[in-house]
Amino acid sequence: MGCSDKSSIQTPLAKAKGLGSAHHGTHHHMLHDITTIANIPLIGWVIYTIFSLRNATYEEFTVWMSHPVSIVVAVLFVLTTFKHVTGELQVVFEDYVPCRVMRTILVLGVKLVFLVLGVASIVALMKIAFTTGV
Amino acid sequence: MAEAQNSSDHKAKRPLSPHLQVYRLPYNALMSISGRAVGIILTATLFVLCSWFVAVAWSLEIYNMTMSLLNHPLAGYGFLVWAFLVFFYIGNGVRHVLWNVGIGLNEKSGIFSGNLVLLLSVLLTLGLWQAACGCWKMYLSSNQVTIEEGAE
Repeated sequence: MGCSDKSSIQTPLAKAKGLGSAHHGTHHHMLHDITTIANIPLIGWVIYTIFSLRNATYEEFTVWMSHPVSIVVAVLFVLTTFKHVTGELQVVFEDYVPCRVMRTILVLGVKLVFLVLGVASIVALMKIAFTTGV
Repeated sequence: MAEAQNSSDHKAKRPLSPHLQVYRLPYNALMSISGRAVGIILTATLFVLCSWFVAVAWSLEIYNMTMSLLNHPLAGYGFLVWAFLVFFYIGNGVRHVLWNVGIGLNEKSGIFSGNLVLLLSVLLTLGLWQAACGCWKMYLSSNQVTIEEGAE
């Protein structure tokens, strides 16, 4: 764990200030639900795509991925899924990681990693789209 | 979320909510926590999938390597397991969304919708499997042959 919760000279009020309901909880919760619904058709498309491209050559793969519908759906998938995933992991960490420092590092770390991967995925989609030619 | 106010060790190590180890989980709690576990597994696979996709977009060699790996018969089963987990997770997610707006929020309908989610996930996975290999059709036709032979 390595988490030492030493008693501090802060008063309980000072500790609570800035941590209370800051009207963010509902927003987080609603985003989670909305991305759940949004992901149903999107993940269906992803499964269909993987299934259809299971024997595809590189050319077939790039032609499929450079179709306008594919690009739009794939970018939407990256945005909503990554939002959903980072929110979900944040809740998991908040539930099960008792040490506040470790918890903050994990939540921010996951958000950062998925932000980088999300941008990289969208750039990869754009690269396929623009090199294949729509 | 109660942060340990004093430095006593056992207080800091109390189990946090949702409690998993203090009592035997009833059906709906079990479904809920397995949904979360599946979510974590899917997050890991999403990470791998997207990293791989980025690599594939940049290099024909990686694409060819990927396809030769996917030619392995186990890859298809891996995909089916992944698809099952996705179906299960989405089904569970819909259940939770409906609960959040107050639909089906009691133990009995919870058990019913949980079983429905499990059944639908299995059916969708079997459908996908069937679409991939046409095994069920083959099984049917081979069965028909034996019936016809028996009749003669």
